[in-house]
Amino acid sequence: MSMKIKSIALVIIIFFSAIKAQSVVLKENYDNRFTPQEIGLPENMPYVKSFIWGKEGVFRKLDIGPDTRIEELQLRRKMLKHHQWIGILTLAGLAYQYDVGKKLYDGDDGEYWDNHYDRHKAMGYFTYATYMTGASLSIFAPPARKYNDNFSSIKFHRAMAVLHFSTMMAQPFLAKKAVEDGKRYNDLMDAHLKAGTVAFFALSLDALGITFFK
Amino acid sequence: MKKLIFILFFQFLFSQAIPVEIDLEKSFLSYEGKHPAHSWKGISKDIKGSFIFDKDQPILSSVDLYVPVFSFDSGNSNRDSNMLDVVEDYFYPSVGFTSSSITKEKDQYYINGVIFFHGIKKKMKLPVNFIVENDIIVVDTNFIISLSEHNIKHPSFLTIKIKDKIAIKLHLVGSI
Repeated sequence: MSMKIKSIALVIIIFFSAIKAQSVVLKENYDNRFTPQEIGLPENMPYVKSFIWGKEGVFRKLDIGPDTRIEELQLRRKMLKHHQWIGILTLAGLAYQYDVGKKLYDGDDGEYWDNHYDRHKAMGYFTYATYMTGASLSIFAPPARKYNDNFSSIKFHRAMAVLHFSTMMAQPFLAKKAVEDGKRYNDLMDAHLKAGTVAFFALSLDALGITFFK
Repeated sequence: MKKLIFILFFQFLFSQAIPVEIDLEKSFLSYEGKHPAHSWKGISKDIKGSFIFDKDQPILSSVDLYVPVFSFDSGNSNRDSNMLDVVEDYFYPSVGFTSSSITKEKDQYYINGVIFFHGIKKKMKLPVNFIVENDIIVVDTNFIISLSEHNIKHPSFLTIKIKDKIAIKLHLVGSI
């Protein structure tokens, strides 16, 4: 066999060996794996998110919010980080508020009342403000990447939020009415205490759930 | 020269390197995240790429696999969304591994190659176990990756950051 034929045979064998051994990932696919895809809005958005951030949502119509979906997601992350911090602050404030409120309600110690009533009222404004700020950060945050119907800690969080949100809304209203309406003072203060109790324990349970459940 | 051609010819003729058809129902790639309060597992069955297996000489096998980051499901869509933000899947949509060689040390096979994740390529040596039965191959590998080594900011929950080390498990079932 001449040298030329040997060389050709060698090249053919190496070529086919290489073909046989090569990866079946096409070059096109290989490149695509690194290419960022366009990110749209998620499916199954909750009604509130859809109302605010859906394709026909209020913020779209008013042209409020970032220009791109990526910027929306980055904004969402920042808003939810603050939501967490403010949630911790609110829970701590509510714990104190609940303790003082319960003593004011139960006790007949005039000195305690004199020393703590204004503090309870001021703390009421503070916790109401922090709670609503935290809630707004979550409600108005741009939509996440995914939503599904699985029961998880976030579903629990949303269910508990309905409870503590409504009682937090009711609390200052009930206290104000109690002060204004002397005849129904006791009933309204009972309701105020019950609303406060539900708000505090619902928020505590919510915090435990989101911390320890998967 | 004759000998070389002879060897190469027979190597080509008897080479058993064949593509493995991956069973996407049974195969998965999972990660396990840990936080002092709880741990969780995210699973993807969307394994793409190629796996060439040489039955006679496993060290001549090769893998080139990747998984879209979006496909990981931990059962909590909010957590999955947070994970996607943290790994910036809108810039780095997939995580994958491409082998460069396979070695055998004391009955244990290792796949050497490059893992690419969050835009960072890192050389790794993964211990791998496999079983072949009735033209079905089952491959398992467990290894650890570090978030900081892939330039990923540790997400925190209640001001406490998650652990840097993430346990990865690949379970691959395929027909040959």
